[in-house]
Amino acid sequence: MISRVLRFLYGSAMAAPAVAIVIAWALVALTGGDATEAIGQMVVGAVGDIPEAVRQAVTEGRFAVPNELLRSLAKATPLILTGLGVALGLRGGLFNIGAEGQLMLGALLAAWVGFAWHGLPTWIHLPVALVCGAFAGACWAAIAGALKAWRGAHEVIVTIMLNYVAILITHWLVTGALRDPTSMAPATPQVLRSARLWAVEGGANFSAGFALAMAAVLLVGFLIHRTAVGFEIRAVGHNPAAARAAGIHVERVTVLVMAMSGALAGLAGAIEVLGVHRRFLDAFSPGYGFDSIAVALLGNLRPIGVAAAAFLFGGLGSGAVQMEAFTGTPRQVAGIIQAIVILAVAVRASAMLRRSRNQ
Amino acid sequence: MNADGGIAVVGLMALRQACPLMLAAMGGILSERSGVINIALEGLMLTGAFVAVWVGASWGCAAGFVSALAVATVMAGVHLVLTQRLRTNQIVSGVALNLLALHASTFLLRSLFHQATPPREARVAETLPLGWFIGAALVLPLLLHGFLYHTKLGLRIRAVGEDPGAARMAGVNPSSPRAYGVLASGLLAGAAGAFLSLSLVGRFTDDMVGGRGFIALAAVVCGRWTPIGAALACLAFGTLDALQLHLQGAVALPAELLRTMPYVFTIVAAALFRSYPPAGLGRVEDD
Repeated sequence: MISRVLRFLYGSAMAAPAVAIVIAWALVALTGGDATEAIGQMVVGAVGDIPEAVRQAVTEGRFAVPNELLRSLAKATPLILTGLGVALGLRGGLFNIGAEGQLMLGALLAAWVGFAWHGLPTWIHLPVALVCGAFAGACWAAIAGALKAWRGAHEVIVTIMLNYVAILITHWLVTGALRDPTSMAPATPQVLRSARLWAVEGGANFSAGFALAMAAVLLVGFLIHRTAVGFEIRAVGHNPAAARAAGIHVERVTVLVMAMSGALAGLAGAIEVLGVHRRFLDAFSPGYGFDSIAVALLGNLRPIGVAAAAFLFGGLGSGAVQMEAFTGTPRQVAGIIQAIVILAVAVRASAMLRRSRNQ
Repeated sequence: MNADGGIAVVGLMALRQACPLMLAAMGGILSERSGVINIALEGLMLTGAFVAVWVGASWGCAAGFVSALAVATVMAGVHLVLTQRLRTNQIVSGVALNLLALHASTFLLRSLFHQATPPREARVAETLPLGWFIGAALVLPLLLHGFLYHTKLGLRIRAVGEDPGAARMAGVNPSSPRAYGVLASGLLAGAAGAFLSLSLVGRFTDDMVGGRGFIALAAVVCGRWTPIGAALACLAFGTLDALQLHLQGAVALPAELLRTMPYVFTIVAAALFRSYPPAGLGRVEDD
């Protein structure tokens, strides 16, 4: 009986988060915190008071999504987009560690288009600003793609270095040429109303960007699995030599994959600016681009998986902020849980692979 | 006189910047030449830096240094077990260990040293002499060159990294050279981290490694996975970094653009010199 329960737990997808939460609980308890209270606050901070929301829906007939849940989804939005970008790159055999820099440049260009281009109607201004953000990310990533394709430069090195360069360039511009002189912190002026994404009132940071991210999940899934380009990408990722022999232009696919990967990261940055902050704040990203690597790997490089992993990371991230505010337990607990989840999922995946081979 | 003084200052600064990169890069070489991708260098360095101060604050610098080496080696052992015994993807394991090191070190800094608000830091009373580490970092690439190309274990490490199947045919069990390679990478990255916290600044702050592990990894690739090549790449990077620090204020360029110099040069170097990894890198022999 017990072994059956254990085997069920081991086989279910919830096993990894459960193990991670138990370890985090122990860690908080060992360092002298109220572990149960802390973990409880983190869960409530991630999804909100669901029972209360359901009770209201039943008794009063109106369903309001808890603010905490909206905040988690808002935090997941850039992770979905950057995670899709990293996953797309890895599908094509390219490890794009540069999502952070691509996101920052996309955000900055979107902000500039948003505040400097006057007199455009929303239906032109907003899409143009979003596209410009994606374009900036795409160009930045394409540098790494082109150097890989034609010079054999390792994309990991180039994207790491481009991260530093991008962050320094945005810092330079936002403290100099593009700075809003009236703001205390280094930031650009606010983007015009015509370039703003719709967002809910009340500080949950939930914007229409979430819908764009979900659309991107479907689009990237379609692209990878149902189009000729997606087939070429997967072929190159699987075996570049064989792909070349089959007549695929490997260099072109390499640049294209990096550009698309960067475009997704740039779009994430544009959404953060146009939907959440309404301006480019210096160093606003808490490392979305770096977390996106973990999100892509945890999602097993599948678009739906990436979205699920991003929800988990977003929920843990915003839950941890509430936990820290209410119990004083450092929010880094969330990061520790994320790391353990990744390890547990990876170990389980390779164990299952081996078992299926042995049978 | 002034120019000479300038060169001496820049030279010393270059060695200080290059030292942790060289130590970590040598670790990266040992791991990757044995065929195990190790992008956890960053996390191993951060772990070393934190443990060195954590133990060093109450037990003294020497104890801190030894514990930093020990804990980072154990963490590399986790990478070894995960990737070799449990056959976890090597990049996934590295990413997860980096994430773990980053958040666990800040978590412990906050909860053990009761530093709630930034800037958070933990200090040690005394520091270890810079010269020891710089001397070690300069000698190590030569020793490692001798080890990899002129000893039996070095040959085995390279053989396993190039082709684990063929190595096994020749009677070498791939798991033992790999264990040495990966554990040594933990030891050396831990030393690099301890240098940063115990010797260079005498304290631990949040995420104080700041990407040096990744730059060391880039130096490994630019140096074509050879100890001397990687050491030269680290020295070049350190020199450029020292030069841009020295030039700040001296020339009319914005500091941010000067600071991009070492990174831009690394990109140029990566584009100019083709580099091929060990053929068996990341490959796990099938059962």
